[in-house]
Amino acid sequence: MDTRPHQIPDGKPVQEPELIRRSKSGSREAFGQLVGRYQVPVYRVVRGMLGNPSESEDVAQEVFLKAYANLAKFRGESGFFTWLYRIAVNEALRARKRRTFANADALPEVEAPPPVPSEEDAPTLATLEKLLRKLSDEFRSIVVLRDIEGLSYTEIAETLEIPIGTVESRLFRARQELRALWRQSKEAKNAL
Amino acid sequence: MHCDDAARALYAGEILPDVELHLSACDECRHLSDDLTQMNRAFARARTEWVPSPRFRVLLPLAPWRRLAIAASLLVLPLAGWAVASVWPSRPNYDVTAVLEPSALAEPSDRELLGTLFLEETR
Repeated sequence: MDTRPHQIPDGKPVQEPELIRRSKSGSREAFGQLVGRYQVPVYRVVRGMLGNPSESEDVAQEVFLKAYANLAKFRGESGFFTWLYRIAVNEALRARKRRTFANADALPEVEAPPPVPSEEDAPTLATLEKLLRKLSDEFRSIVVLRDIEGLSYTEIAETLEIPIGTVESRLFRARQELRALWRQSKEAKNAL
Repeated sequence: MHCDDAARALYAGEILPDVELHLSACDECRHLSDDLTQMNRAFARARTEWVPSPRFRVLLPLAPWRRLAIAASLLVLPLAGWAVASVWPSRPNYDVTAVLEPSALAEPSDRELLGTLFLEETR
């Protein structure tokens, strides 16, 4: 758990557990500090899962509202950020399902802009988003948490509530599939 | 080292001396290593570039006591308005002409005017 001190309006630096305690007892300021700390990583997780910037902001907002409403249920058995990431992954998956069930024709997935030629051979961000979208939900979430957010296997296991062995094997298969998709994409580009 | 072992190590992000040695001799695994390096660059870019727009703000719901206060004020304002209106000194809204006799409203005739003048002169 992160124990870096945060500044709260009363002027004293506050550790994260204290911010959580204050938030639980109804301090909006304390929760605001937690939001400030985690809004970018939460957005990134959701963005990696959804691939749509504006929808990702809406879902990130929902993540924090859900966290705020359910703060009393957070018992501190896992890290606060893994608890928050779990909500983020679940909300992003829910948003994807909503989008699919609502009307796939009326609200198509936002097509990534054409890749801008890069100086390197690395995939552009638009290509990366496109490749991530082709992965299954399970594979996408694990790649986002590990390769973009840099969570450890233990943290991923906590976040996704799966055993560490499953994290290792799933990550291996997810990277294999992503690499295969990347090769296909490169070959298609070279064929043009 | 076998290619399967090298691939397993590369996908797990382990750069072992054995793997390095294998890569120097195996084109297939070197391609894999290059692809993974390129993908890692893309992930690193995502880490720095996937940020919410500057206008993004997390809006928390109002605290219950604030919601109650707003609801109470919404209820109190019309009640106060009604109370003020009910105690405000009211003007008579009846028509004065309606209570006067019709003859009082009519203009005096010439004879009446002359009669009045005559009476004043004789006083």
